[in-house]
Amino acid sequence: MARNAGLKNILTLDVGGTSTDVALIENLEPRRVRTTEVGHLSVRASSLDVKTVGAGGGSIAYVPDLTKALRVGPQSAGAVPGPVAYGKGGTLPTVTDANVVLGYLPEALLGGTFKLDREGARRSVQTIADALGIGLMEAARGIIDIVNENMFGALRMISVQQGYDPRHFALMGFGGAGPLHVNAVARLMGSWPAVSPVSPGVLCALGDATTRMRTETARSFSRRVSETSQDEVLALLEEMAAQTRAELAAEGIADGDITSQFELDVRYEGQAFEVPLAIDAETLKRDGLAGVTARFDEEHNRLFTFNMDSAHELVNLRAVALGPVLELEAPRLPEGDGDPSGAKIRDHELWADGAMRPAVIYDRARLRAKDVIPGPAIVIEMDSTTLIEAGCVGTVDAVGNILINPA
Amino acid sequence: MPATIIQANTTPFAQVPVDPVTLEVIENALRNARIEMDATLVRTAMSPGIREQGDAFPLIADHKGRMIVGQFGSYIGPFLEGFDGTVEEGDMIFLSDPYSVGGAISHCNDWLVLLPVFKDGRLLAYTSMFGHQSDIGGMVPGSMPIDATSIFQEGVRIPPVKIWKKGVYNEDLIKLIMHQVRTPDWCKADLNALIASCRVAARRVVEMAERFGDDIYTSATELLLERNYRAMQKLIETSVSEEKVSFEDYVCDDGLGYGPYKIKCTMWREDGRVILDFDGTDPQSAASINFFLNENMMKMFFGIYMIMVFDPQILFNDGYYPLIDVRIPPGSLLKPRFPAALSGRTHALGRLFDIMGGLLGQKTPEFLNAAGFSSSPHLFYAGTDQKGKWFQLFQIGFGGIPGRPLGDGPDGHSLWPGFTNVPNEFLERYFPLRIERYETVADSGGAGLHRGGNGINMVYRFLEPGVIAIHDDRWFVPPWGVNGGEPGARARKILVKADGTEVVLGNKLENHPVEAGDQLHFITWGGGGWGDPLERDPSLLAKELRQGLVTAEGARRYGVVLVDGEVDAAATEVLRARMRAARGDTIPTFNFGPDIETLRANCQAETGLPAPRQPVWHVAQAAE
Repeated sequence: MARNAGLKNILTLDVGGTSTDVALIENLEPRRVRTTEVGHLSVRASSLDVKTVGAGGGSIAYVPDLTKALRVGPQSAGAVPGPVAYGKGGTLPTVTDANVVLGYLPEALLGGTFKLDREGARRSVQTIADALGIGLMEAARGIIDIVNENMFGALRMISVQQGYDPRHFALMGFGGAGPLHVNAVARLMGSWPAVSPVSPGVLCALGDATTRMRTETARSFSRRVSETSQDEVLALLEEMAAQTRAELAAEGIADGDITSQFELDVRYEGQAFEVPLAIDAETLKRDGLAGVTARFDEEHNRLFTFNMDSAHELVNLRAVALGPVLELEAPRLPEGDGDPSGAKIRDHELWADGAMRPAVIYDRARLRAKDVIPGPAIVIEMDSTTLIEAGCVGTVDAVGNILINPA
Repeated sequence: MPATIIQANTTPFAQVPVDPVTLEVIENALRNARIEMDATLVRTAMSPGIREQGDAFPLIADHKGRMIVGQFGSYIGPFLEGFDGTVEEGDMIFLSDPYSVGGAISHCNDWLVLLPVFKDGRLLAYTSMFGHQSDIGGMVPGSMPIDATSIFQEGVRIPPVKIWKKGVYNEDLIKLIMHQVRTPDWCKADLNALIASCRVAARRVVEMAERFGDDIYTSATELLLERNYRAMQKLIETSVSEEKVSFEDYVCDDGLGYGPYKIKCTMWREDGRVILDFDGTDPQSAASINFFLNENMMKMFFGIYMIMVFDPQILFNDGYYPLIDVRIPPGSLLKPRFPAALSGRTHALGRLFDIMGGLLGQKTPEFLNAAGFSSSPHLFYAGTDQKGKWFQLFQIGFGGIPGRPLGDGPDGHSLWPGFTNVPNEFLERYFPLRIERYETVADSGGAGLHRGGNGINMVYRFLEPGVIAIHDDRWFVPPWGVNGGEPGARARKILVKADGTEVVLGNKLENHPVEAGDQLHFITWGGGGWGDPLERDPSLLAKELRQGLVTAEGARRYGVVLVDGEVDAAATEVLRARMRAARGDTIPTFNFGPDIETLRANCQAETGLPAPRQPVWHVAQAAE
């Protein structure tokens, strides 16, 4: 998706009903970790480095009696009973209800088949406004600001805290509610463009369906680099490569379509954290283990801001076999002249900078490449809604991604 | 002499109105800043104590030194009052002496960094962080000698000094300090990590002031303090009675043969304020189990208990401290006199949480937990191996979490939920030992409707001769059960020699020699049970029998008869009826087990160790 948009460094913002997942992609490679959280358990399994916060469209806003503070989440109304605006019996105000009150979510979703109960949303958010003694719009705006702040915190954790500058990254919002929040969060992060990708609501499903086949095997090695040799390591890696290639071959993949990659987990002797380093056989042969330790020192310094004089330890060896990349040609949009009015559905009003402002609602299906959409504007489609804020401009690229930048 | 704060810009901050939403956004931003402090620390520290155990605590304070977000008692106000020097832009203060900050850090292992934050020439805030150092010199590796009788034996003790002075780094100071410690690489990296965390927080605070405006930021922090004040005021009115309630518990011994040490707390409401009075607490020890309790720390603990139930998202801050009055008798275990040793204070710290639970929960039994694994006992093993290489292992133990309203207490865990165990593979890889067993001790969790968690038996087989040190507690006074639940089992330490001879070891000892082939059974205590064991579902007993968590004999404490692993329903009914008749109708809120005198009388027979002697008040010795 990012490659199609010509972006290599992306922060991802996947906003669902209950939670928001964020991750970092550098040079089109997502960061991987060897430990992941499943519920409350820590599992030592390979996975992508995704951080989750309890902030989503269904997050419930409430004002505890004791402190009269405005809280949003982590409790969620889920899909059932869901936000009040869904009309499925929900009574507690949620982030979605606030978005409805502010006019960011127009009356109907899912291509018009799902009508939103705007009055119900207002009534529920009014309870928050009354508890705080402020206006309805201020209360709604407050709920959104707090949820955005939590997303901002999570994004900082995977970028700044890992030694990356968010200003060098684009921010891509997906999931049902991602494109609704991506512009505001991009402003907080300084990460531009804010991107609403094609089919943002089902992007994860698309990923699932098109993901490359991959299998891996790992072996503990646990030896000082100085006590082994490049040949010994290569021999083991080659053995492991053969094993993983055979697994994919058994799945019917032709040997010529299989790519082998290696990973070496290195740490300073006595430390508990390893740093995984991706490598291929040619590089290992050419640069040897000295090349590996040099790369480790560099990466360690970037992640942890220091190096040590201790011996290097090669902790684990890993071999990965990958199937072929599905070259999905993204369908190209017909090119327009920059004027999006052909996609306009109607005029609208939404809350921005402390007042109700005129805005335009567009149909994503009718946008053309090179269309320039001035904010404030809303772009609706079957699986999501994109908000372009006042003071920002959205540009449609060749395949239909909307790239939002400050005007 | 109070500190002189030097500001290029002395314009005071204006108090301006802040709308409720901006206030929330700032509170969230502060929370995120605190999380970043923790993350920076873990990222840049080197020692396992900080990276894996997370033994470090952050704080962000306003320009008057009051904590706005963080997790330790703010010491800044009193500290500045006693600091004979200047505080200006580019300064950073560093200290480790508990006596210099009224116990805000409780032993010299905790290195504390304080950074005044300036913006446009004005003092805007303070950020501070402390972290446990793996070694700071002193008479034993690890620097926590259980038998130290003076703080002078516990390692380098740093008074408040400037590590950075107007932007100039004091390299000689660091050189001098690192020269005193056995692990200078770790200490240096950990210190850098503390400094990095303070600087990250400082940047975030300045960013917040830039984003919202200086006056809005400072007014917001004022409002956050006020909000907690109002919340606590309400809670005090409704939840704390004017009638005095008390609770007491014990630290079993001090490693020098004295104990148990009673800690007593009495609570009541007077003129809208809560009094927490520790009168009745036993005197300080000659050894190092003393816990120099900082009053603000105690207020923070108290506030956490109270506020968490009603608004778990609240940021703890200093706002409500004026409403709480903490009284600690000087010369007691909790306010020892200089130069009392302080390194072994973990037991009293943990026991304090048991006491707070008992004190606050006794009027609302449905919220009450039993006593549980309120300590971080450790094993220390060091020596020189056959290749002439020095090794030293510092290993933290886990045990039974108390039975609680929610359900059973987890087996083999810790009061400090962030702690993780070091994998056995790692231990065996880097240290000359084998872990022969790592299992829960069946039946060690107190019986109850909700079972207390089991303790752990970890058996270390030492492959090299060396010395060990053990710091543990709850071997003499059992952890109490509540609402009908029974006490948990006590801790034990047994050294099995290669020829099979068993030696019962004390739970607080230093420098005990071990030989290659010796096996140490490090057995920790179980949590107390919650609720009536005769109400527990018998099928759970059968399940836990299969899981090795209870035995058939142990199941009888619940009135459950298991035959060949299955519940004998008829026999269970009979046994339960008999047990109910024998105990009568009243179910006690607390079950402490036998009283102290009975425990003393039976100590040698039951534990293999002589009973500790009652601590007595004496006049403190003059400093050496």
